[in-house]
Amino acid sequence: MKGLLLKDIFNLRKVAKQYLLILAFFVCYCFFLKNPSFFPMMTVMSFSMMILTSLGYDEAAGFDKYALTLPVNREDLVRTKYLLLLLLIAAGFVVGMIGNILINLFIQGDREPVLEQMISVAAVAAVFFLVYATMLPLVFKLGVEKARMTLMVCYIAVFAGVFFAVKQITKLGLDKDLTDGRMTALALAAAIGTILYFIGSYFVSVRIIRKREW
Amino acid sequence: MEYAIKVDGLTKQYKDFTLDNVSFAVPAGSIVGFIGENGAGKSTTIKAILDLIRKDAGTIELLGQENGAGNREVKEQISVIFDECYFPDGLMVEDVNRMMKQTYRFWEQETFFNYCRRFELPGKKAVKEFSRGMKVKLSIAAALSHKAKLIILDDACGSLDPVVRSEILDIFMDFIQDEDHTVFLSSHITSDIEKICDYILLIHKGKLLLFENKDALLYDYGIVRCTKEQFRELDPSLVVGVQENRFEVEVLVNNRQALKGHSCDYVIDQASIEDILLYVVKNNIKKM
Repeated sequence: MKGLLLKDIFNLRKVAKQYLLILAFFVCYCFFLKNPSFFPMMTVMSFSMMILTSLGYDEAAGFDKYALTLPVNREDLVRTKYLLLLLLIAAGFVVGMIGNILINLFIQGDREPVLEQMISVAAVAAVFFLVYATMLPLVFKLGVEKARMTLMVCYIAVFAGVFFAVKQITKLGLDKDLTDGRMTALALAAAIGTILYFIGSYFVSVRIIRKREW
Repeated sequence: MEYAIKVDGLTKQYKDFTLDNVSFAVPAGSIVGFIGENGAGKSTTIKAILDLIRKDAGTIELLGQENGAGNREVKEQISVIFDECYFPDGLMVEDVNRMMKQTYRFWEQETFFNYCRRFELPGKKAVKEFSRGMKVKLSIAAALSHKAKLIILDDACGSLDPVVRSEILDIFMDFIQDEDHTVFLSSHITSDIEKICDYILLIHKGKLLLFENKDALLYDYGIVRCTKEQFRELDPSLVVGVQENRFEVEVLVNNRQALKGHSCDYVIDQASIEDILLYVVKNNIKKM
């Protein structure tokens, strides 16, 4: 699996220059807005999108068929992509937060405490986890190109899900008198829900790839 | 281990094609040539051996292990070279080395770079800039660099020029000097098969038609050129295939020694593997 992950990283080098340009644009935009909080959100979004780029390169090369002749099994193919998604979102988070702090040094705008910003960015990261956790089984089933067309549907589904969850919380009155303890409990529940959804998505993808033929 | 690959009753059904109860065993230490026309079932058989498709029936042993393609230990000892290179376009030779080093326990970096130098593969270029032949050479270099015991080629040499193909065949001949090593070579190029293979496996429309020792095949099979009258006197059990033209009848026979000293004094030429493939397949088409 380490070999597969290395291959993905080598592959993504190709798009590194484009992503550096995009990051530069985001930095300029933050200076223009005099608000750096936009930057980590964008890095998380753009880094997480690289998972589709990586899957697209593999599909174009037909790599999975070859990979299965190496000492690698079908589960490894899925595991590598889920791990890569985790790493990409983590990298987006770290780069975004570092960028945020650095931009903040130059901007004399409203400064939000770093911890609060980290929580906001973590919430955005959780949304992207949910979006790609919804999408990856579709990619393994339909291929990248067809699945790419469902990206918008995945976004809508995740936002609808989040909206429904918030509605339920309001309905149950859990949002009233939000104490620190209740806030932490809600955040923890959201985090556990995201992790469980991610794990569920992994097992669905494994099931799909076990049945796939090359 | 007696057999490197043992296939028994392999069946795979598609809408318009059936791989029908295919059974054969590839002796360890040999080179087996797998021939047949396009769509005969060669790639389907190889995919089933490698567990890339689900079989409907039958058993497959690889290096003595049932369902060996699902076993990591077995796959450490197998190399597969397809007709295309499946390394992603952005990778370079060094990247392939680093990736394989993390994939195979017995990856031999020096051997890999030696082959890359021998095949004149540019180190600074990405795979996408390689010619088709260079891509196949890269796959071959990788296949020969992890102490594999079994190499499976799925029409891999078709895109190589004759000089390189000859060099590659020599490499396989060297590889086979170790009696533990086996090559299973699927190809359309019958001259290559004739040059290096010990056994010939012929498949047609999903059915196995022939699996024989190559030398015995070339010794026994012959092409008889005769008149129609002489053809009528031929023992039908010897006839494998027939081609007629205005002037004569050409007959592929499976025991040319039996015709020596025959009263008809037949003209008998040695049959090549290509002749055998053409006659057997054409004869089978007529029967169908």
